[in-house]
Amino acid sequence: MLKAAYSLALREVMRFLRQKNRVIGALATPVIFWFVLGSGVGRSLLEAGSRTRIDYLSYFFPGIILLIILFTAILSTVSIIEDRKEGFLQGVLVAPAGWAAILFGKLMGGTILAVLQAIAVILIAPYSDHHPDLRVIVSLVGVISVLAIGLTALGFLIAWPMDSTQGFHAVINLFFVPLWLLSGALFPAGGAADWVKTLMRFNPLSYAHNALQELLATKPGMPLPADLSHDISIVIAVTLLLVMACAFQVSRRS
Amino acid sequence: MAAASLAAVQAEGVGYAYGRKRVLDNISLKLEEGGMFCVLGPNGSGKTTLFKIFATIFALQDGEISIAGRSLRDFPTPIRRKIGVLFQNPAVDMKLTVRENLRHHGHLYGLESYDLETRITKNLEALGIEDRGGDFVESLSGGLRRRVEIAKALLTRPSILLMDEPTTGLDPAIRSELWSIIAGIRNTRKLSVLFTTHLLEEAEPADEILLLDQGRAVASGPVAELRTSLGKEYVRLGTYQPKKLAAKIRKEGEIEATVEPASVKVVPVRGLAAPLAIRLWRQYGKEVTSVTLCRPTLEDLFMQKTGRPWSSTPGEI
Repeated sequence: MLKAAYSLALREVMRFLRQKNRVIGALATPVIFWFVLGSGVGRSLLEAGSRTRIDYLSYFFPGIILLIILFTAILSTVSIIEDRKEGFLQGVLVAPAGWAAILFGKLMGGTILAVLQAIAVILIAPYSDHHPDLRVIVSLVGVISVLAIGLTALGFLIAWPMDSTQGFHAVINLFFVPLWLLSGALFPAGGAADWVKTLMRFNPLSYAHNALQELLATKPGMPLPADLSHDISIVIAVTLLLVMACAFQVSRRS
Repeated sequence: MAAASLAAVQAEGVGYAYGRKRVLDNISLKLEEGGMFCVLGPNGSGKTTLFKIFATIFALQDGEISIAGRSLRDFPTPIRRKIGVLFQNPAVDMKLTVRENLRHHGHLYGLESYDLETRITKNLEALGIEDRGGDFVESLSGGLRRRVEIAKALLTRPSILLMDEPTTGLDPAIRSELWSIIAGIRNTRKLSVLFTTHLLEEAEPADEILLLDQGRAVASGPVAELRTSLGKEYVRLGTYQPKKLAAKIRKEGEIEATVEPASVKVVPVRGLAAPLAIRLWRQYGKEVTSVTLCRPTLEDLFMQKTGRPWSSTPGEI
């Protein structure tokens, strides 16, 4: 089963790397988004609850990492619908490895792609006035991995029963974009209206965003933030729930 | 198990419904070990549903199926190791090369390294595509893609090959090439084949057929026997006015004339069809565009059993 899952994951990565437009799209779009929006808003945003003005390029950076993981999760799960339509999936479904291989292959594939891209973006962290040391980078990769598994599982859950990519994109716009908007990626919860604050508190992505933000803000030599474990445990718990929901969904035979 | 029941695939009373819509009803068939079985039916007759049940994609609802001596209901996973599956739609990844596709498929079945690579090479050779191993599947023609699919289905050395409309979308020349490839493979290794098709001529080489219509078996048995059961040779007269001509011929007596689209089917009640053909040609030459001497075909069988010509869909007549 592991061999089969690994092979499916590898296929995912190979397909991605072979479609150059996908590589460029997945990496360049969020980075351009970050650079333009970050530079545009610049110093006009006041961080809520404090009197220090911060640069939006810097504030927006963790949100962009989040966006990249979100994009990758979406793109890697939309391939389920394509695989089903093109017929590739049926060949996998009749193999002895079965549904578990498909699920773990997809999750692994999506996660590998997300982590590779996130690392590529972390390399430009110094331009956003973040200076992560090795310890922070390792922790970041850990958080990103769990987050990527969770978001890929969410995409999988939505894509599995669907038969059109258009339908998938419609659901994504309705579902993923608000999740991201209300995660703290664009604005902090501090200055938001109460109902937005409430929504943000119930959004698991807020905790992921918070973890990324705090890790990135950790200066070399400083201890890792204390409430990190709280954020991460929420992200892990939600991820586990999503993976279990996927397993339940895929294991039901038609 | 008794020698008499040496079946590669055996189905008893198989039924299937999508919700309330019943698409298969009481289907039984037996594919002998090393044999070739054809499920023949027009579009929408339930062939693909039946195939998907055999291929372990759809769960078995009613009836019993045993494949390679095991119950499909109880042992789907061991059965998966015994079957090679060729789908109607291509099941290869266009963005991968031929070898990568096969390698990936091997991994799904737990094959790896040297054993896998040797098998891939052998299978590509057997299908005459050893020089295409490094090509992306999307760059291959339809016929070559189909060969890749066959190489893939046979990679795991199945004892049973299941094929759903294997020649869909291929032109006639490539179609017959594909069938000769399959015949060649059956010569070199022991392989039982079960396939579906809506093309009458493709059913001919099978040892046995099951004729399916609207989810029910309308006839089954060896092709030659089914033909004999249909009776005599007959004459088909091509004409622009089949009704008029049939009426004239019927008046002669001792001769049956049936109106068909743009033709009249004439069956002698006594005597042989060949002399009748010549006589009819002489007598009605002006009204007739062609005279054909025919043996009953599977098309006639379908017509006899369902009252509809093969090409019509239910409700058209």
